[in-house]
Amino acid sequence: MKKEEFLDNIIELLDVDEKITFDTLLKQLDDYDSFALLSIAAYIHKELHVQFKASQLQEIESINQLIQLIGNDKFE
Amino acid sequence: MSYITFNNIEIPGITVCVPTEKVCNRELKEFTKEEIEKFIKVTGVEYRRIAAKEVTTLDLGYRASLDLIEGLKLEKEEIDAIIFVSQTPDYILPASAIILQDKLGLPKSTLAFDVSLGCSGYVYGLFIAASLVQNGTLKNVLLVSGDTVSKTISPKDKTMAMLFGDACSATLIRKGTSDIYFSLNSDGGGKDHLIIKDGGFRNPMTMSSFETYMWEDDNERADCHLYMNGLEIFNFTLREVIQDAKNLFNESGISKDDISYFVYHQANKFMNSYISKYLKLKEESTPESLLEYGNTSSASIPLTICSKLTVEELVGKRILLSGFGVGLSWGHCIIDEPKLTYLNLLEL
Repeated sequence: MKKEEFLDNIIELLDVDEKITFDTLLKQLDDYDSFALLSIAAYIHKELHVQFKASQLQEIESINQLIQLIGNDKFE
Repeated sequence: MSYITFNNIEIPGITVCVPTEKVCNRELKEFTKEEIEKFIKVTGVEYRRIAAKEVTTLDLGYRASLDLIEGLKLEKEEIDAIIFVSQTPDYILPASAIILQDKLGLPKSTLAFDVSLGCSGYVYGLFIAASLVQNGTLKNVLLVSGDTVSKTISPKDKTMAMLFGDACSATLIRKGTSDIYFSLNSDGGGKDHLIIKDGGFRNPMTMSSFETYMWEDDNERADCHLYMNGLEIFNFTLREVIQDAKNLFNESGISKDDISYFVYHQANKFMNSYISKYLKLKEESTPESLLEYGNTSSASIPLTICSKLTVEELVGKRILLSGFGVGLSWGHCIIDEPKLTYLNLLEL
């Protein structure tokens, strides 16, 4: 999967009005809550077959950081 | 993981008793409209049944048991054992199963004991009941399984206060002609993900147990309240529960295409939908009772059967039951054909 495609899919999942880039601080988004994290956990499990501890996902500040956590080898 | 098969078992009847009081999540004043709508969208829970202060799990289980005994036209002397599966017993001791033996007027020869399990408890209870029956000495085993989880939850906890409902079930297990395949598992390493910290003998109840404070997850609760790390429980489901179902298909040699109904513990809609999508299950084969009753712990599987399926729909059908949650503890069973003749849902 290309990183841009991953970004688009996460944006769709989060379903927020704000513009989101790779570096947007996710915790500053109004609707970024435990339900949003659940959606991300489910998405990366289904599409990329990876799983992380709740604490690891909770520490994520941006989609760039999420990509680093998942590992560049999972992306084109 | 442990795989066990029992032959010659049947489950002729199930009754579930829910409290009369119906709570509508949309009418709760503790949360904003936006919070409530978002919660309903994710969890699928709109209504729940909440036990009155004086009504306990045992009371609900007693009513369910009485109805089941009557519905199956059993003599009380025919019941050889009671297994009471709950984490909301009447007392720390004595065991609720023994109190129930007396309330039901069952003979003193009745074998009775409690099992402390939550959302996996119905599958474990069936396993224990089947073990007792398989031995041949005991003919009819009454499995009573349920909780009044609402009594353990902080009303200000937005992850929990709108999720759990109360219910208790009674199921009869006896010698029959069907096979049951079980897979049962445990991981105490996840004990902190779903826990009531105070009130046992590790952390006895003190005055401070009742003092509410803001937790890291931005919810207000006390140490005597139930806490759940939803993300860790979801992780656990992805990691263990889905794989366990696949393992049982392999071990039993039964394909998922040969199963008519998949009755999952009603955790929340998000989780259950994910499991269904991942295992590619058809919507019509995965009944849900979340909308009307919420998450009812170890009663959620029998409640889903009694509220969403009929005896006629289950004739000749193979079903899979899946329980998972607190412990962590999880298990699946495939029942070739339950041979149900009686299902009922009543209120107290």
